[in-house]
Amino acid sequence: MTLSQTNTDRLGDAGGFDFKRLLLSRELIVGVMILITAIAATMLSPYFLTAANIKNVVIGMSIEMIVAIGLTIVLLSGGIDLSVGSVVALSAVVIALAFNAGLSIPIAIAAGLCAGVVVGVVNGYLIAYVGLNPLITTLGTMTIFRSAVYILSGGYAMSSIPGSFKALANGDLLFGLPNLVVLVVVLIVLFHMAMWQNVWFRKFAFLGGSEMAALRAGINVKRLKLMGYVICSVLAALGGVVVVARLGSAFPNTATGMELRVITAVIVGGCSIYGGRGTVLGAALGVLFLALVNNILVLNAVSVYWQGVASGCVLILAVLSDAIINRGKRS
Amino acid sequence: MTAPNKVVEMTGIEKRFGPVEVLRGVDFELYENEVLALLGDNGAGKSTLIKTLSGYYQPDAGQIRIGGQAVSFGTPHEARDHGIETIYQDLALFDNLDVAANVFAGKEKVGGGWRKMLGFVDRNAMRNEAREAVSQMAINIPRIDQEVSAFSGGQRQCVAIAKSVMWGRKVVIMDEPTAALGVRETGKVLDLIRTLKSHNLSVIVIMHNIEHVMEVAERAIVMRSGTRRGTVNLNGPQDRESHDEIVKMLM
Ligand SMILES: Nc1ncnc2c1ncn2[C@@H]1O[C@H](COP(=O)(O)OP(=O)(O)O)[C@@H](O)[C@H]1O
Ligand SMILES: [Mg+2]
Repeated sequence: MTLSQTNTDRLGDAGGFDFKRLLLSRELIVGVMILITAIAATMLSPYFLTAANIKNVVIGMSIEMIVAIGLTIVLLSGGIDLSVGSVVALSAVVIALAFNAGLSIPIAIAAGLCAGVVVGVVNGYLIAYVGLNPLITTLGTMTIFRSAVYILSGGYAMSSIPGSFKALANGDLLFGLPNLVVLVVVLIVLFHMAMWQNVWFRKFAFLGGSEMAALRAGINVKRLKLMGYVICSVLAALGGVVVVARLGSAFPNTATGMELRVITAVIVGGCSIYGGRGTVLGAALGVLFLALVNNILVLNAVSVYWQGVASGCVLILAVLSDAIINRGKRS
Repeated sequence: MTAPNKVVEMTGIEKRFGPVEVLRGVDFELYENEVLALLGDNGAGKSTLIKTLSGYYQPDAGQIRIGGQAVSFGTPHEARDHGIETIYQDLALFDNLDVAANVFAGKEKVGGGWRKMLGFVDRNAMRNEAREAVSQMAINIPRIDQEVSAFSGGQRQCVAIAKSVMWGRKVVIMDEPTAALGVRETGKVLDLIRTLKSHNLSVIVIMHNIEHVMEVAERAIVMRSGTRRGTVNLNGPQDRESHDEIVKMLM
């Protein structure tokens, strides 16, 4: 939209609130779509609004939500990370191994998160300091660490997980809300606020807007890029912690294909694949929207094989609507 | 009247890239609150000369003085710390961000109290200061909270320049600021240059159009094959004599 062209001659005053921009913001659009989808779902299936179903949807998408936060940061800063699914599995297997070795819960969690740090540093170093292409690099680490998962687990599910650890994820300490939901909401709010307001986290938007300009503005571009991949991997590793705690076992094929599902959701939520655009809240709404669409399909006994068709169509519609909204704007 | 002070003085600047001798002992001076045009053919070494001043390149020989004090810049940052700001041709703006974010990039204001503890920025303060800086410019900006991707070439220059005024620079360097602009936008950039002068800054501008040079600059330095041909004092657009003198040096 050429918002500016019409009022070029007004002096540089903010002149109230930019309602048009709010109306066209992706968060609001996706929010409305979620509402419409939820209403449609209620009409299509009597089970949709049951507590059990809602709980299922919300808990089912919690891991993707956590992964989506990290991917938002990487995409916003102009990169991409395909290795997140492998990191979820790696962290899960490392935790299971730690329990096998008789380590305590905090140490096991720390070990899982450390696995995330390692992958993040590898990704970040190769991309930021060696200058390799992020898509190719993380495709490589995705493959490598998925293999590592199979090697470490021997290909079997590992399920000697202490019950108290499972209770962490499956309990509801706060107002009867599932702990997982509390964790996810807290993370989303924290990261959304940080990306919006915190001086350091805001640098990712600068980096994604123009690397050259960021460099000239005195931002340590390489270190920031590396940190983006580390944060993304650590969040994915946290997803792995949640997987193990929720399921009580670590499967080597955990989160296979999750990277593409989450990238799809994050883009539906308004992140640009070219960097510079995207919010954590939008990404979370994108995950929620796709989860609802899938839930409708499941409730109406549509074969799960159709889920890909639905997600793909939503993705293309989102990108299409973007192209229409931004027509005429200089790129 | 006392002789004007030199803000920048460069003497005997030499720079080579491999076998190519790009600058062969160039002298250069910029006076306080002066608009200086740097002229010369393509490949004369203009960009290279100003890049040694902005810390982008290090000269192989020669000396740079800022306000009489000898300096040597290892990085563009050091030059900036000495009050020398370069407006690059690509403007180095963040298209995805608004005016305030662009003006404050890398130096964002942190709020007080609880915000300080969380490292939260003070959006209102930044917005107000950016509006203040931008409104002193010769070009109107539609909305201070709008992404600069929607701006015209002149408005983008305005944002880039507002930054240097804002940060209290002494010298602003512009390398072919009008190269990609139409007639109307070019006129606006010339206005911006006058605005900079009215803010007591000194300006070095590289431009090819002699008419434009005559309109804004008070003096021109002409370069040729890595050397300085000479300098001409200019007295406004009607000054035919200086005009012809420049043309002669350029030939
Ligand atoms: N980084 C570089 N490496 C090698 N040669 C360069 C480099 N920068 C400039 N030159 C050469 O130096 C000469 C002067 O370039 P420049 O300063 O850009 O001229 P101008 O700005 O006056 O057109 C040109 O012949 C150019 O090819
Ligand atoms: Mg040049």
